[in-house]
Amino acid sequence: MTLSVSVPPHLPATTAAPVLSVRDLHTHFYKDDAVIHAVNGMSLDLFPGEILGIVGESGCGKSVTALSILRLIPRAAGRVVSGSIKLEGRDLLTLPPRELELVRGRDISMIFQEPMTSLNPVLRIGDQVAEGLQLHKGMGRRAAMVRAIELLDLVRIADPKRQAQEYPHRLSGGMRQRVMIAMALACEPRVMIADEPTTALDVTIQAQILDLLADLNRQTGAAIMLITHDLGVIAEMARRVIVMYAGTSVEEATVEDLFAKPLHPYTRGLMTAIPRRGAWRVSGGLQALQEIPGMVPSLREPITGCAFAPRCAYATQQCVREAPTRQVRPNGHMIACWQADRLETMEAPS
Amino acid sequence: MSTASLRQTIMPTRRFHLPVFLRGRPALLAGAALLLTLVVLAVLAPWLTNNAQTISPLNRLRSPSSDLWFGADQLGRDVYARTLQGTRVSLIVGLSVAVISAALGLAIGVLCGFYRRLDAVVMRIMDALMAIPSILLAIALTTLMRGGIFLVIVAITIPEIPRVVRLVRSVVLTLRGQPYVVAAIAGGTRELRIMTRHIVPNALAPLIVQATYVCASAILTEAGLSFIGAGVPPDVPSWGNIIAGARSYFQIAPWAIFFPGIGLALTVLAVNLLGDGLRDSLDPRASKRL
Repeated sequence: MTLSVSVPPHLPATTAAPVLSVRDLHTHFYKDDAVIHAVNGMSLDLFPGEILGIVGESGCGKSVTALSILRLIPRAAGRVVSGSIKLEGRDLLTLPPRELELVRGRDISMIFQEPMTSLNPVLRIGDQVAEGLQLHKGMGRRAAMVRAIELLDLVRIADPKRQAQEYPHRLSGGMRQRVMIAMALACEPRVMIADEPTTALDVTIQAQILDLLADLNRQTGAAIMLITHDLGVIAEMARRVIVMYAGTSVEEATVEDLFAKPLHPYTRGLMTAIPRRGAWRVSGGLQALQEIPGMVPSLREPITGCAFAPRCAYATQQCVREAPTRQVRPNGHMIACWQADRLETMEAPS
Repeated sequence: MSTASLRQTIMPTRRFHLPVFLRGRPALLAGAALLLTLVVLAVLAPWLTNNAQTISPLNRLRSPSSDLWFGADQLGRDVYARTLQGTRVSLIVGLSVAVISAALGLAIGVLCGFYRRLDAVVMRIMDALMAIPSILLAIALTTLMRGGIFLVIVAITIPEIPRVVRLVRSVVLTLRGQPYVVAAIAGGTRELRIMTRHIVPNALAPLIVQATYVCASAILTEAGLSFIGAGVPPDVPSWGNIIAGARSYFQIAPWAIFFPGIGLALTVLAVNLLGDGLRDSLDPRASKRL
């Protein structure tokens, strides 16, 4: 790997130190004899109280990055090979198991993608929300239950007292995701990782859940790392965005900068791949929905050169040979592309 | 209509109601009713019959009549009294084996599903245990020690444990990957608590179903052991030793074999019906798999 330069924190919009700081993370999975390089030198900073969007297509390593941060990669499947994950200065990768258990849920919590299966079917939801409180806050059963009901109310579950006595199968997907959010919030963590929290929900419920997350971010000050494949969600929720491709970040900017002037050809590809009203009617014309040609690279071998080069219309010999270095523009816009300067002068896609 | 009453109409709170639960499950109902009857008979046996061991030579090989309901055997003992007494042995052995092997199997299976190193060692031991036929083990044990119901239970339980362990282990391995278990780990729940609170309750349904099959097979194995004389001592009537004692008189006094045979068949049927019923209601997916 040539792309293992330690990256300085970009865009310190706030002068505060990042609450979560990931540097040069490499996570490998082992399947049969092959090594799958799921995360290849990912770096990110999450500042206190912000919402950071992470976007990329399926298989680009978004979720694996999240699981790596909480050290949830099943030992049998793979492991974090190198890098550092610092939560308020403490490296989570070297934490002994006992202390890690204390950090999980208390300092950093996670909301998962599948609300339908993320709740234990044999436990009442009140007990599930209360579990974290008993564990981390040393609350008694009764006190934890009272707080659990408050939390259910906070995530806007109607009649929380009654719902706390229900089993998960009686709740809809949206309600269950609210319960998951209540569980993630229970111990007032400083960091919440939301891994595609709305992917499994229908559109109206998605909007409600996102609203709720944004409100809770304002109310509790918990920094949220929002993982999604939906640029629309990013535009609405996040202040900063990281675009991931083939296990690493290729572009990082504030939402305004990224949408106004996407620099990386991959980001541009993503933006033209968003369906727009009327686009389908002039299919074949200028307005046709564009796809990014080609496939996500196989992660079975280390990538030489730029991972996006085989799919990139602007690729040169240099792109194929050498991995791009990360350049940070004066406005904090980070990009890993050899052609960035050339692209900047070209007009961004509409 | 108020919101509360509307809510009641849309999603009425369903309390668990036994008669309603049983109505749609005839197998479960039949099995449970039959088994309950047998348990009541076994408990009340001493009051429902006279002494099962009383030998009355005058009654030898008498056919069933109004005072000897099931007839008498070659020693003139009341077959009705002996059959009813035999129910006790069968049920005690069946239930004990089921409960002990389920409990031990659950504990070992959960630990194996969690710790891979332990798993590698323990599963080889389980393979070895599985290779021991319970009949041979029982014969060996009764030869070494004074026979008794306890020994029979031990002998049948040992080879059953690996079967339960295998089942529990496979269930635990699937459950460990469930999002709610991963979510609990992400929430900082300790390993022991993950096992007791998130894994065990979700593994109980298939375990209970498996336990009923273990129970049925234990009852049959006990009857077999008693039949060849390696089971409970002869002074305790058990269906196996009743049938064994009367087998040479089968042609002139078939009732002495018939009634304990019916008892055995009914008990195993009851347990299996109960098991099938429980499987269908507790573990809908397994019914397609098995």
